[in-house]
Amino acid sequence: MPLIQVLPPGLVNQIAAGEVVERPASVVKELVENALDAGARSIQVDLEEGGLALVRVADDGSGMEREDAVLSLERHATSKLRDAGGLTTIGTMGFRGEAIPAIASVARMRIDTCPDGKPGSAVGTRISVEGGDVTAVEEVARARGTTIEVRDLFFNTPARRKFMRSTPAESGHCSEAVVRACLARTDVGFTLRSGGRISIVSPAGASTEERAAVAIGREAARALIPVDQERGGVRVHGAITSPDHSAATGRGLYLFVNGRFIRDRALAWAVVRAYAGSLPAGRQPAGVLYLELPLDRVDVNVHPQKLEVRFQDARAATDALHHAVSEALRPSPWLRHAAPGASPIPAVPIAAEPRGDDVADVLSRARAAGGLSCETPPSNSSLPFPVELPRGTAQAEPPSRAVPGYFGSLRYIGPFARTYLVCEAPGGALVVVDQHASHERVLFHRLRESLRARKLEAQPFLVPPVVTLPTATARTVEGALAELAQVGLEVEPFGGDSFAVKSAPAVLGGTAMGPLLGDLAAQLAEAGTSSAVTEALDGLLATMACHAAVRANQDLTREEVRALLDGLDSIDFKARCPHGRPVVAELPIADLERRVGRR
Amino acid sequence: MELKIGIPELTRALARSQGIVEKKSTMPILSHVLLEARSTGELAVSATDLDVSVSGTHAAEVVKEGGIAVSARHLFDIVKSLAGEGKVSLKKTANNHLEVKAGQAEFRLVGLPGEDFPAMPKFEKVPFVPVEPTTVLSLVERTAFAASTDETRYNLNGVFFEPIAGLMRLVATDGHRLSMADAVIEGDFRLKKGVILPRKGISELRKLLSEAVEGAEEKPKGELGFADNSAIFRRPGVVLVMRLIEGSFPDYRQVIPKAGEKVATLGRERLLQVLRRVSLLSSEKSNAVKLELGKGNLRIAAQNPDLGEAREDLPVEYDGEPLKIGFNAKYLIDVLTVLHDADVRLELADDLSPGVVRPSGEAGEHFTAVIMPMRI
Ligand SMILES: Nc1ncnc2c1ncn2[C@@H]1O[C@H](COP(=O)(O)OP(=O)(O)OP(=O)(O)O)[C@@H](O)[C@H]1O
Ligand SMILES: [Mg+2]
Repeated sequence: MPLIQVLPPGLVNQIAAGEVVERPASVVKELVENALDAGARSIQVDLEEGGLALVRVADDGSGMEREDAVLSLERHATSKLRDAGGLTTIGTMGFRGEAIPAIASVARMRIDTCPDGKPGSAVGTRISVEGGDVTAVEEVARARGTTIEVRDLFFNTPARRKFMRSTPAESGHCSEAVVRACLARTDVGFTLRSGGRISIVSPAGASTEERAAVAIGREAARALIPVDQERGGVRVHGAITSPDHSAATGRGLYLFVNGRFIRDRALAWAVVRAYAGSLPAGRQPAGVLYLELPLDRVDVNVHPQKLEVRFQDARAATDALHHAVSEALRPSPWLRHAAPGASPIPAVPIAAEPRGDDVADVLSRARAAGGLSCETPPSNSSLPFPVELPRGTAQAEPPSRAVPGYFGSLRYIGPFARTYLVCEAPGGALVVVDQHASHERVLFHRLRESLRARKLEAQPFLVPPVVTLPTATARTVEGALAELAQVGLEVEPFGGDSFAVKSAPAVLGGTAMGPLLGDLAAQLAEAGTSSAVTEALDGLLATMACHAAVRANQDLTREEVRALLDGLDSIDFKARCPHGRPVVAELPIADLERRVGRR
Repeated sequence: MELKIGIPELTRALARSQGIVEKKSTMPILSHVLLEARSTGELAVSATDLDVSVSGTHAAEVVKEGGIAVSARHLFDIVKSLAGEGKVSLKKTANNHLEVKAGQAEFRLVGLPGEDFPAMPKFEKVPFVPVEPTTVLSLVERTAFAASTDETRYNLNGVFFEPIAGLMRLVATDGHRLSMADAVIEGDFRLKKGVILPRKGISELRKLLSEAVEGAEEKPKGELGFADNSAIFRRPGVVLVMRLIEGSFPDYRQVIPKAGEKVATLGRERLLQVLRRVSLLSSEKSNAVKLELGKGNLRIAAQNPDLGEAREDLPVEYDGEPLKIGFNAKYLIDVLTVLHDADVRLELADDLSPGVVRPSGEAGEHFTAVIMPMRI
């Protein structure tokens, strides 16, 4: 017998499933895309246990004849592609004929479907499949359209099942899949129910902005600026947040190419670049951008989950995107209205149009306005001379001569670049302290110490702030209430995707809870609730410290500087600083003298 | 435009504009003041950031009518530097330059055409209500400090004005504490519901009110009115217009506790001093102090693992059950600082429920501060 054998189809499908069906959210994505391809006007998605127990997608699309329905379960059976030529002009979401058989091979599936043309006496087909084997084909009464139920996903592949996260985490991924479809097709109505509870309802014909609010949250959606430009045959439209809003991750930026959600670093970077430094360092914009170009100029057949595409001319795409976003940001419409929610047109006609604003002005103002920055400060504020760190010490360590009371003994000279505190050390060295990084570190230390000693002072709210989060983020927070409570944030669900913050650690002072909660949630989503608890907690504390710390470009009083320097003395420098950056640099007088030629 | 005006008068006019002009604006004109010479023998000086606008008129010897906008800060600096009670002449020359002359000194400032300056909002038929600046100032001072500076809670970034028949009530909160003051007033603002006055507008209002209160007038007068989403305050020679914050103010009545069971009465000044002293050793950002209320005695204590501890006792009128409760000392200090009464009442329920501070006696009916305790 030859060693090499052709695999049986069941196993082939399971292997394909490994690529296509990563988690319940993949099932949601594939079924919803099929419904869209079938011309549905309204799509309903139901989940149980984050989709692990049940994913049901019901549509009012074309439906299938019995024969087609049976064929749809065959590998590489598709109605969307006929020949190789067709591969270059794919206008449908699907084209491989792989999704249904792959899902069917790792779950218990039931397809109910009924094609057009039989109003009233509608007789449809019901096909039951278990682990890829058809167990029954029957008649069923139903209206035009298709309902596909997928139960007990991965029941026959326990290894895969083990990789699944908690129910809230999986349901977060699923709602993210629905959100993407919502954004891709504003002309179609969507409903998502999770555990019987409605979590997304968006009627057909909603505006991009309305849909964007579901994806990026109401607060961020208020900061949206419309984008619409064409360049080099690529049209870019949608909306993007003004520099007033920013997030710690790029998850709020949704990019679509010819209606398909994709991930593409080069494109995302083109968007960030268009902000030309008006965003605080390391922060990302949110928004929804659609790229439209002739079908034959993109290859969609490059990624098993179709999350990537290949452009014939990648430069043209990034250029068009960069140009469109820059153009939208140029008039800086956000600068006129500080209060979010204020109507964009003043009720009293006293506003003259801003005339001849120079982009440089706009940007320098935005920069001056500052913001959170946990990354290296922008290069324009870096030191004009190289400051040497004492040899033999790790970057994050204080100068080697540091003794207890080192920071307290510094004589504060003044601020530099509104970001650094310039001081003189008793031995005659020039010491430069990064105000944000050092304060962040002090706060991080305090938070961690008081948490360890179980003495975290909590300041409850009299009027709790209510924070509305993007749907997927909201699900993450829902599943992480206990973790948040551990770091002193008492958060209660407040209906839908909203939460009330009942109490926060007192050291956070007047920190804005909305952005903080958003960043914490993003972090939790990335870490997953299962990861080592202490590590996750440290990460959360670091984020809280970062939010509460004084920012770069914030003027400090002498008293505040004193308190900060004294605070630095009380912390244990051997502990890793939350973001691993040095907070202080020292230039010994001898080095300075050598540099100016005195020695 | 050409005119002559007294240096002190012009200094005062320009000083008013300094808080309003946008220092970092991208619209250069917003960092300017508009000067308008009128045939009525007046110089009008206006400043705006599009949300808050102030415009004042001042007697001047007008030679020629007209207007020009110039940098608010530079003109102010120049006029301030011109010592004495003398006069300064202002003249618009070609290319929108402003010539400033006083004695031997001469300046030429680059300006912008007056027409480019955003027009001051005009309102018709504003139902103005006469108000006493002293009364309004006192209401503002006892509430504005509690407003939030967290820009994401924009509906708390101001002071809530609620018209109640025969009363004018201001309320402000930052989410942790709340301050409410009211005063008897006659007149109808014809507002259907309460409105939120923005922090910046309030701070400008405060300046105009203090100006009035400290001025020479025997009984200073003012008028307050609301129209088109704006609040308007005017006095002879000056108008302030601020755009209201859109959004709804939280239902503040819900968070004001019913008369507490544990009520202590104590000297305000003494309590303030003790809090200031003890909080020297409370931790930097949280400012936590612990209050231990017992029969006839209140002990206030603070501790900080890095620094040490402090405590002080003070006499109170109290004979209820003992209670321990934590507070952010700053919240208490803020309230005690804006009050002028000799004695205050501290009304508490338990260590988790909000506490109330109000003047003892009758004045307590017109002021309420609510503070959420801290869990320490
Ligand atoms: N909801 C639906 N309504 C009508 N027809 C459907 C529906 N879902 C699937 N089909 C039919 O079943 C076929 C197989 O679906 P399947 O998702 O496996 O493949 P595909 O969509 O063609 O390609 P891909 O694997 O890229 O998604 C489709 O080509 C389509 O004809
Ligand atoms: Mg498909």
